[in-house]
Amino acid sequence: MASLVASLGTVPAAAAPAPVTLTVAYWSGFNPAGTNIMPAWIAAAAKQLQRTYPNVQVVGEEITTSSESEYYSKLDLTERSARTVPDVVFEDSFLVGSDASAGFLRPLPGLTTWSGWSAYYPAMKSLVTYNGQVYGAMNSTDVQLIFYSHKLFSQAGLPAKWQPHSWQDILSAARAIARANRNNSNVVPLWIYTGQAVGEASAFRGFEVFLNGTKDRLYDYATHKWEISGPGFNATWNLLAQMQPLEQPEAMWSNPNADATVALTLIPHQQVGIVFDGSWVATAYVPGGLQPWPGFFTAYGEAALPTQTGAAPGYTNQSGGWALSVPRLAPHPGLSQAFVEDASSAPILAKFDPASGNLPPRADVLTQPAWRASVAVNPVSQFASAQLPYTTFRPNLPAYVQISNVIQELTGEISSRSITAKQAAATYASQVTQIVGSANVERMTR
Amino acid sequence: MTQGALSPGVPPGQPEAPATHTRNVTVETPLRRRLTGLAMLAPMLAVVLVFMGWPAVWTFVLSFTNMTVTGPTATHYQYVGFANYQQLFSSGSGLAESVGKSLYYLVVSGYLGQAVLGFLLAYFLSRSLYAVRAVVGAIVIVAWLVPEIVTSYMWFVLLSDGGVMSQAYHAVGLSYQSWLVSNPMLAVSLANAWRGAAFSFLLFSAALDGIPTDLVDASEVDGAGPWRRLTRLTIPLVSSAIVVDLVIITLATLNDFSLIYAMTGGGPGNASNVLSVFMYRQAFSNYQLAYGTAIAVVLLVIGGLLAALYIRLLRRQGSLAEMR
Repeated sequence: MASLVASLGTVPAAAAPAPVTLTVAYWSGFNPAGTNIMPAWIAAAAKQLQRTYPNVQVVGEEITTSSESEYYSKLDLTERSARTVPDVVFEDSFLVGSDASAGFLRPLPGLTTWSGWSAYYPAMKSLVTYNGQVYGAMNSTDVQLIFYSHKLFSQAGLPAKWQPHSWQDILSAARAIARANRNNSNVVPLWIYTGQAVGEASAFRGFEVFLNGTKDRLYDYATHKWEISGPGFNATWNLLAQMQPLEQPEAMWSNPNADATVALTLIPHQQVGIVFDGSWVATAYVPGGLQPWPGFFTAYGEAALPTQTGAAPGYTNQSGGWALSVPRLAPHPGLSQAFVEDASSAPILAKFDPASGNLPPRADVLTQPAWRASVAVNPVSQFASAQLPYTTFRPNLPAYVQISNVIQELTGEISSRSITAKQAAATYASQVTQIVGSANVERMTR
Repeated sequence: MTQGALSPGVPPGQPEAPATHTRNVTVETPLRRRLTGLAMLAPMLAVVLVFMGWPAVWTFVLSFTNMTVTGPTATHYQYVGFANYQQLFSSGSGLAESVGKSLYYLVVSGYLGQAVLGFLLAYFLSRSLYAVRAVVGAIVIVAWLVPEIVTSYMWFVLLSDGGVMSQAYHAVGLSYQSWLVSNPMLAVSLANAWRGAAFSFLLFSAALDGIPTDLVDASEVDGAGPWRRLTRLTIPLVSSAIVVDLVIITLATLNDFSLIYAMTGGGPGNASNVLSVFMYRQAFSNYQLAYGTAIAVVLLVIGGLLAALYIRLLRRQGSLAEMR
């Protein structure tokens, strides 16, 4: 009956399009209890999307897991079936290439003609590119920093303003703190992520960022081979073994919530001397953060990561960041892509990035009023964005995910003293060879 | 069909009813009886085949592929023969360590902590006052009723740094390193024994209640002491319950995952990486889905072998008939 009426022209011919609901899957770890970071971001982007598509509703789908790797497993399993697939997925950029190669993600060539695309830093474009195709848009990035306690430094006779110029400088400072606190077991001289419990953090901030301060790299883009050994690898495994007596006790590093232990307990109690962590850590202490504490910015200083011996350019870094992508089985790819564009627009990222403690992946966010206001309350973000010129990125290749797991396990075994640096180096070489095949590896001698 | 066709040879004029009854019984051939039985079993059989048989077969099939959670082989996986098993059984794979930890968990938390403790509880309570029996029995059973994840969290809080145990140590001036770190296998075994002893306790209580009192009285008259009565009378009489308990406990303990995963995550490092956690980590943390299924197959084989062994023991005792 309705169709008959419609065909007779008694209702407007251009009837409103059917209502559509888009689901955006994200990890609970990005939305800690007491904050509203992800829902606020999704709602702001949805509002912008509804100006063009008033029929579209957007709902966030929080996937709750204790570890990041479990989130990816759950997400990848939902992407296998049309009945469970979300419309938009929020993924760490290191997984984008792997998921693209699995056929879980839809290439989005239309993104390259979107007005916002040209504002992205070139590296941020390559992070979401796999085999020449674009699979998403970045919404956040970060750099790694050294935070150091002014109180513990002064007690140990170390300078008030500190910038290490080599790994040796870091070890010397940590040893001085350990000596000054040898009767105080509450003080952790040096905090470094290690072991499998904290997942990617151990590989990323506990190994790779140091390896990047040597001449060796995980992957050789010139030869398209994985580097499995070399002087830089040996030096990095050695550094971890030297740090072991100075680092946090096993009960802390083997806990999946180790990041909360350092940020919400050790740092606020000024019980940790040197911390290697992401630039976002300071966000916890700003007003409205997880644990507001304006005193942080005077209690702790920040320093850049030196290369192994201070060799040019003097500093090193590694950045990650998260992207929004569209699964291959998502039923409304056009609308999904429109949501990705709106959620990644400069005014919306200018609010999301400071709220989530990240740095913007596109240059035009830095001039947005909301970003400028955030720098005023969180001076660390100013220092952090100055590190972007030194930064490097993880290989966006499917094998990385497995290689990262090898690194995580080895860092933990060094920390529990079940293997030596030499054994770690040998195991790394053999396991990576097993993962990628002996034709795809090389040993460095430079 | 006429009545005559159904009942040949009935002389006319004979009362029909009782004769019809006997004839109906003779019509039910063994084949028909078997088919009826099968038809009645069919719904249950279908459920078992679809929800238990098929996943098991599929797991077995996947263990011969290179399927991953992500990466090129996530959807386009291939048959790789015994590659997963070769990798699993090569040195350094961690399999031997995981099997060792699973067996430790089975012996300490399953056999000692659940079966032996459950038996002793049942044995001593069966000869104590009703009030004692009611109170202790209720406490043991409440532990069993608590959901596993709640048990895990309770024991985690009890044993972790800053938890009840560390406060108790500090109260008497001792330093405490969390058992979750210093001896994680013992920590998870204690929690599992606490939770699971009630099952064995109930099973043995029922079996002990079934022992005729005149037998016990007779043995006392014959001069058997308590130890002799326990070993020569009680244990042989409940041996079928013991085997049933061992089969169920072995499978439940070997396959236990959530308690350990929630308490230690298999760590620190690999210190509590029992087979089930090893399987989960490989499949869902290292994304090696097919490799994880190969570990699942190994787990299934170990459980199956142990169960077969117990049932064989039971047969040899001739007590299987008794069970029926």
